[in-house]
Amino acid sequence: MSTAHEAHPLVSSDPDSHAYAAMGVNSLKLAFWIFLGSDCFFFGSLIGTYMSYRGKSLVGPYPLDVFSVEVTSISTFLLLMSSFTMVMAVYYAKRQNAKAAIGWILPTMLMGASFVGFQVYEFSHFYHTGLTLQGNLFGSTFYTLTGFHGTHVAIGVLWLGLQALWLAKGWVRQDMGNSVEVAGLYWHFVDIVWIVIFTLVYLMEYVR
Amino acid sequence: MSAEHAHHDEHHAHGPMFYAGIAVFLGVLTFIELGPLFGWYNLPIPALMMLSLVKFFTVVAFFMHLWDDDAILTRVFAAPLVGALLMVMVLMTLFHTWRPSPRDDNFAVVERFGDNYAGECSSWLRSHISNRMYCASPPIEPERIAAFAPAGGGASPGGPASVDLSGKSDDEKKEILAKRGEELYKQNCQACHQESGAGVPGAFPPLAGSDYAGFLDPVQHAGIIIKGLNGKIVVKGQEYNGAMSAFGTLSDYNIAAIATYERNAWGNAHGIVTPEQVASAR
Repeated sequence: MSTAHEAHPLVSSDPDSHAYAAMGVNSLKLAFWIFLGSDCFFFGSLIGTYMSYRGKSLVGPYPLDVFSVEVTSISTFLLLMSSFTMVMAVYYAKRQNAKAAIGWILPTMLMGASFVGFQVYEFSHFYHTGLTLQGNLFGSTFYTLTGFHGTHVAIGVLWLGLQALWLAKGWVRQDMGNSVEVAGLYWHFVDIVWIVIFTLVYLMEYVR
Repeated sequence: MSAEHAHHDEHHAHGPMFYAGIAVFLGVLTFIELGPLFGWYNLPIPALMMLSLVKFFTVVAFFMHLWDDDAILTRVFAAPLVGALLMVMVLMTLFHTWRPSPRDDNFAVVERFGDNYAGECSSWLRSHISNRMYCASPPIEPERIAAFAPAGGGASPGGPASVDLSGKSDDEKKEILAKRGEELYKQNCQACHQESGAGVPGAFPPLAGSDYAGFLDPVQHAGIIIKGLNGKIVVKGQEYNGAMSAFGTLSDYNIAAIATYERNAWGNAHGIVTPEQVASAR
């Protein structure tokens, strides 16, 4: 008991603590995984709609008329690598090293914000090429799916910003490792959704 | 209790080098995926799916730590994930997404849209639910229709491209043209402008009782059918801002027939449009 305490000074020893659910899992983390499960259905419905209408637009612009492989490749790599910096932030937060955690959260935010920036550029470029929300099925389903994903990324950037602020000010109420880990789960989830979107929306168009 | 908590939190024994290795692995897989994007080589769809799947589960297992975190977390995530996957597959089946894309397969398009190519909708919706609600997008370009049309048919089936009208009176011309025009109207125009010629308020302007100057003038009328019409117009006091596509691949005679029909149906009485007037509008 006491050794466990030394390893984790911020974990409450109060047996009535609500931080842990009955099965011994952190409540916040468990709740958040359940939320991610529900978000699977959220993106499942958008991806299902995109795939159902895929290739059925009878007026342009079609995907290959608007896609920019360079922009997509760069933003895909940015988001993927931001998952690495995120897991490093969690690693240091778990070890109660707030300074190092902040040091890894900031580049994660930067890459996430760049991803959103690239998406804004992409959307405005697509719009000027003639792809609109109501113009054809591709436009409707593409903007809805990638737009909601981009919104998730933007929310993630804000959340990480709050985490960095809390860590810097020492405002974390319980275990900073837990706090950053849950924000990290959200961040990684947004990354894996993009892994799916990248393949289904972009790569599939280039199969010959 | 607290010893147990600590046990759970101590699970993630991986260090920075491990995470960096995973990141390199993910980077390499993504680099392989870029091949088809830049045309370096081709990858079949199953290979792309596998790459995506491996990346997905690598992030979930090692960055999100499900590999060595509590099993209950894997369960609460896996169940809805499988549910969502099933939902996507059912949707794709209902919408016939597994079959070849209509852009690659003429047969699929003809089957999907039959002889009515007014908009974009799946065969499932078309066969089960009224077309109109789901087909509000602009008609497809005639070149595409021509490419997809069954042999010998197309947008002007069952009729000659031209009929000699010389020596006929205006009334006779009107009768011949309007009769042919009615068939062609059903094929090409009715989906938007409706059988009654009333259009769809706010979406497709009416032809019945139209006061639009471009409709009243025979040569301008022909020109709209030939070239289509984009942008804001006002018809019978209502503003329309749509996109009508061009039907210029139809012959002069067929366009004259459509225009003449439209000018004399539903109580309209605006005289005939001759094939010569159509030719002058091109």
